[in-house]
Amino acid sequence: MRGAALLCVLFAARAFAAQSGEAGHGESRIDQSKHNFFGAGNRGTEGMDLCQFCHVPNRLETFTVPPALWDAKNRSRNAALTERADPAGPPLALRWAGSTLRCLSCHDSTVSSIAIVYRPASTSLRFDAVAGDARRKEGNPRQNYLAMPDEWSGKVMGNHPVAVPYPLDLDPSEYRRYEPRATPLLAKDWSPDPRAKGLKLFTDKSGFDVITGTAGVECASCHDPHGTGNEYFLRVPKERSELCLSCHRK
Amino acid sequence: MIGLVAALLAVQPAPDIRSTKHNLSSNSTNTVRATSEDQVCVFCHIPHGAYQSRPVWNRDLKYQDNPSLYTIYTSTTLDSNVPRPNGAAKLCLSCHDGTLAIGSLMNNDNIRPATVQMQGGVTTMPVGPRNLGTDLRNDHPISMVPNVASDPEIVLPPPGDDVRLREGATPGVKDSVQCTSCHDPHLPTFKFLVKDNTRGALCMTCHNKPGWIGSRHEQSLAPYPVNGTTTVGDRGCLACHAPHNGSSPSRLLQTSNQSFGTPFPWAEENVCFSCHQSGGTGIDPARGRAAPDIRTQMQKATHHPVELKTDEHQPIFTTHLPEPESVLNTNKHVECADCHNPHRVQALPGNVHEGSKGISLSGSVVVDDATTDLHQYEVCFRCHGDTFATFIPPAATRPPSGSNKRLELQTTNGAFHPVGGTGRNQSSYLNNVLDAPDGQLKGNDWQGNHLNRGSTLLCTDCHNNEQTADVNGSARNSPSGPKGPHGSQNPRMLRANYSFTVGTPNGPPFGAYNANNFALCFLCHDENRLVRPQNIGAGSRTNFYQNGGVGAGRGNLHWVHLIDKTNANCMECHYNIHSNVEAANTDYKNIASGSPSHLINFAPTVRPFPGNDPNYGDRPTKPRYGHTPSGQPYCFLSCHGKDAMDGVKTVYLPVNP
Repeated sequence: MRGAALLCVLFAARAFAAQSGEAGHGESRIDQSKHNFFGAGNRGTEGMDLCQFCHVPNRLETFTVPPALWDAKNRSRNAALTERADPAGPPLALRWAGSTLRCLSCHDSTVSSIAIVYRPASTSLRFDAVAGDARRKEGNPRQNYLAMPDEWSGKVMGNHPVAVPYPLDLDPSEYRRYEPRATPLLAKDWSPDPRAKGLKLFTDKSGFDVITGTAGVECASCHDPHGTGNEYFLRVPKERSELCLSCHRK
Repeated sequence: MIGLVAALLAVQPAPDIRSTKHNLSSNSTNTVRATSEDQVCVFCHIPHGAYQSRPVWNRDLKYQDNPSLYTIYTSTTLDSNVPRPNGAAKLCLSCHDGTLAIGSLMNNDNIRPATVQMQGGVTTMPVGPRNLGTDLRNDHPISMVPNVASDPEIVLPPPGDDVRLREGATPGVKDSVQCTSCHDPHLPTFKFLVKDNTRGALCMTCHNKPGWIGSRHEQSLAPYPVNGTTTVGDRGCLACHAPHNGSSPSRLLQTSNQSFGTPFPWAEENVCFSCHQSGGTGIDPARGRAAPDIRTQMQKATHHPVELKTDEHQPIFTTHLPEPESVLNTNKHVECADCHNPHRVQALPGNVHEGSKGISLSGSVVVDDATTDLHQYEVCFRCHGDTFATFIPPAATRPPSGSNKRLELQTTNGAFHPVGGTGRNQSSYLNNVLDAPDGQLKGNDWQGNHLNRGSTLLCTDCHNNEQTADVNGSARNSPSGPKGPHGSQNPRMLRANYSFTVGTPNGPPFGAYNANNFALCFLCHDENRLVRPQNIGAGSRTNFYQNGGVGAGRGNLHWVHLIDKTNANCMECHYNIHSNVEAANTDYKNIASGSPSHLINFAPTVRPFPGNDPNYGDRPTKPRYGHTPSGQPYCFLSCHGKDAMDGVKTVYLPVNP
């Protein structure tokens, strides 16, 4: 009966989310988005379509774009993008693996020369000496969510943490070797399953089944890079802070 | 079915930050809200482009780098080191110090910096109790690591408590008190408190005040304030203390606006007077009375002048050692807390000095604790003992009793009113075998014993609210109040009238006997014993007595002095009624130092006899009170222009054992 109640809750929450009209969720508008670097509505040219800014076909024999898709300066890091975790083994040490790495390949300014708003070199992402952030240099990576390794040029301060666990169903499990920062985890602070609101969680165990104890937050939890119809590629509109409140029960 | 109910309950939006004052969005009904910005979180948080990451903070804290921006809390009873605000405190202050505009954000909608327009043109936090300003001296200290080693009255919150230490100066270590130790800015609770502070439960998570539980203030069921919706006890710490914007510079005292004889609105006594005034609280049903009206007492003709000084007093009942103010008080002031510990005080007939400190008869510091009660006089000795000269008028204008009461009340003295211990006069004539009026002392009791030669007194048996003169004996027996040496309509805070008029060298002070001149004395000393003529029965006289045939044979010599031959004042022969230690105008002859001398010490208007003492052949330079070589008491002096006290006629009966 308890399981049935939970299902009812989830169903009701989904129904509520649907009623609230999260316009654009699941609706691909990549061609209309700013991620279409040809310009809105322009599907590209022969030999290069808009997808190829980020993706290449798996079996493409002749390649018309450089093979180093994510880090032109250090190809060895590309391995991180294709390496997959052994579901039975320990999670990958590289915590920026996964979709967040793909986003940062442009948005950390180390690869892309495109002027992007939120890149570390921009003045908005200043480093500061706030006590907690200073720990990034003090070698306690299990509590250090926010900084990329220094050699990644990543003073990614002032941003919401990514590659961090989400207490799905209020289970405070770790994700990508990172433990929940707030211990004890206060159930009252978290939505049991923000997917009901239209957000996306990720798993660090490979595969696609996000289950309790494996869930995490990446850039793409809130943003759908293929376009949503909302501002800033948001999966849920930011108006009235509904986006924030999808996870945070404050 | 259960699932359906659960689902219905689940979709009910629980109260969250959107129902609080911290919802600054245009959708709220708060006074302080945006004109059109409908995001809630954005006023503090932004997922990108924040000032810092933990948490992502949307306000530019750079201005707080100014090391002199904040004036830090300080206190003489504070053991912890309070640094500049750090950790989460900086976040809260970015609105609550009133510096940045509420709508001033790092980033909003990709505009950096951004300004959100607020309703009514509000920019910085409106002036009021929520705007703490940059002067943090009147706010609970923050960002400090509690020094529990030095201060036993500070304890760390237990694990799992809603009150938590937070990260401070040391990264990753949750060891500091921050705003967020007590407040969760997201909680839809009263003042965003992390837990209910009824009866001081939140404060007492860290503040351990021994004796508070069970104290009068903690137990009080009196409505606070009158017609209030809570009681003094439920109000807890907040009845007296203000964790923010306290009016007192330290110890965060609440005050009312009832300025009393002082321009200082934060005068310490006003904290007490907010309840301890007429109509201050409602009736406490457990006691059938409201808080005693001390404020009225303090407005009487003579009173302990709590209004004279502000910020002079330092607490001595703290566990902070050494005491911020020495127990032997050397700094002229008096405040309520000099005599009472408001955290532990009990109401009469309990111990109103519970938890206080005092000076013993031997001059050492004594502490009222769970096993030891202070003697009342030990509290008085703080100022009226060894440092008396600091507190009372200079010697030239000093009243006759203006002297060191600790020395005066030593039990080895030849004569003293029995405050520090049983008196020296152990005559059966001083004893009260039956209740008044048969006894010499009127003899109600205050400790279960009748007043007799074995009794001791309290300072407040003579120095008290004049309304307590409605009973004889100890003032403790009076149904009137409030009791205590707070104030009196009589001079010198006396419980009943007492004339300080003394005669001149040429005549008596009074033209006729009037009992009201000695009303104070007669509360304990049977007037009939003193003013009835001679030859009253042996069981009802005093020791100051001549039988017929002995000396002048005048019988009751008190009567002789008060009525028969002259109309003298008690104080002409008992000038300092506290003791004989300071008897500058008395020559004790053949009375060994420390031997009983019956509180006889002469007023300055009493003169030496112009001739030689027939008992010893010498000519004393002061009025003489002594024993003849055979041990009979006598006087040898001149008073009121009469040289009749010639040492022969004035010999009277030896003390009745």
